[in-house]
Amino acid sequence: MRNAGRIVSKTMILEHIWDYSFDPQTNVVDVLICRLRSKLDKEGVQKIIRTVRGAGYVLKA
Amino acid sequence: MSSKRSRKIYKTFRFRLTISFSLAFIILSLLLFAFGYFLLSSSLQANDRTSINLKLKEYTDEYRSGSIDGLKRKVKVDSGSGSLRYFMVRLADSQNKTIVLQQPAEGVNYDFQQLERITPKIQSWIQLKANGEDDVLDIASAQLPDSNLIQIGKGPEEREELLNHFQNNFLEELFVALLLSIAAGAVLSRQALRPLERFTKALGPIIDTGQVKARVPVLRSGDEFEELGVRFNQAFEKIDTLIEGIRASTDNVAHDLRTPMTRLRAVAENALQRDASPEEYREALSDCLEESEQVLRMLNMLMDISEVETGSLQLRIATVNINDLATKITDLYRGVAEDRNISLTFICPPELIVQGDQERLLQMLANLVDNAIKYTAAGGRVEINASAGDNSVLLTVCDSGTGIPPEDVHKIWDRSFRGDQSRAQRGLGLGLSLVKAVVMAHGGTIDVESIQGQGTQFSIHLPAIPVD
Repeated sequence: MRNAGRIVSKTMILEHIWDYSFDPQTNVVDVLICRLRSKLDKEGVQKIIRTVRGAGYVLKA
Repeated sequence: MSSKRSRKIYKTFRFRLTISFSLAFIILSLLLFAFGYFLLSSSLQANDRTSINLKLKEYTDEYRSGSIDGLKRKVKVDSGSGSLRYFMVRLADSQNKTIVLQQPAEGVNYDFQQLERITPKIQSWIQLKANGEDDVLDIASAQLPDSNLIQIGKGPEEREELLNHFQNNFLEELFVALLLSIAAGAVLSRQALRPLERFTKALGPIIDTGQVKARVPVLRSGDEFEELGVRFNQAFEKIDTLIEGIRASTDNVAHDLRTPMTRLRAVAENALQRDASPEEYREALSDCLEESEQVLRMLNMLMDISEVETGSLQLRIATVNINDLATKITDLYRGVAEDRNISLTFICPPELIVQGDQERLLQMLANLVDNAIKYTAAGGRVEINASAGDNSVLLTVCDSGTGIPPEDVHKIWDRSFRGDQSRAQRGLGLGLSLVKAVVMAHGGTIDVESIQGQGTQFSIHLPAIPVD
């Protein structure tokens, strides 16, 4: 929530959550975000995470 | 080659070697000569003194049996037969006044008058210097029964003749030997330096063309030059493979970078060519961002690899819990694995600890898991196992994937290698060489076992306390 409204890149997500400072070759982050979205959907919170193509993700304020 | 021709002959090692050979030979010869000369000269002198003593005894005996007349007769007979050629015979009275004097027939001029003033010493030698010359007459004296005195002397002429002969002969021989030694020195140094010439010749094409394919001819002589040649060739081979590796990976990188760059350019060009809505521009910009992200990813990976390859990989050693590591990785990859219907599990004791670089070990494990998932089909499994051994930790990552063809197994660590099937996949084929480098940097070992169609297992041994 701290970064609400700001675009967060995949690399930043990896570094913050996993202390992981290099690029995995598979699309791990995309998959995780996708799962997060579907969970949020179930909870009735829709489209709170928006994809900014090429740059990363943004949490709607 | 041109540098060789312009080189001054006297500066060559060969020339100096030849000169050294000859000089050593000459000095040795001269020493030998001096020693021989000294030996010969002293033995000749001793010889002369013996013959003087013999003559002295002979004349003393003659005087005893025949007095002065007998002695005079003997002197006359002896000088006639030539046996007194180099000898002086002198008879003096008790006042040392000369009664009879027979001078040497040959040789330099001596002042025999002087002898009257020199007190004769029995049993010891008188040395009479020649007039204006270095020659010395050795004289022995004997007391006669009637208190007269007899003296026999001999000059150095006879032995000097012999010594001169020796000297002349030696100088002639020395000259011949000198010529021979120069020739021998030239041949020897040529022989000794021939392997060096071969090396120089072999290096020529490498310098001219930059091709390190050339090799130095190595003779199985077992000498130092063979060793040098073998080392030379080993160095060339090493350089050759390194250059080959760099070339191959540069080719790969250029190829892989070109595709996203071309796309990026095309998108930007397209967007600029028409009057588009802000929405369309946004789309184009996003495309550009995506492509540039890909380029960046590759460059990052390359820099990682180059850090590893040049051996400048610095580890930040700390206590690392393998269980945490495995948990993180499985967390990270669970989503991908489940999407592909691959079971991802790990078995690890809760407190398994090594000393190592947390970030690099994470990277290593992630690369292996990443690879395993990439090559495993739906319905397969990927397992991480960790266990403690004696002073080491065994970490295995095994999958039920496609496996590695036996002929490629030893090549997977090469940084430019990518299996045929993986050409279609993303990545630079650098992952495994990074894994290996990290393991090596920790002082560990890594092995791979693979059965085609059944799966692959990577086993890593990490020392509990890494060696530097």
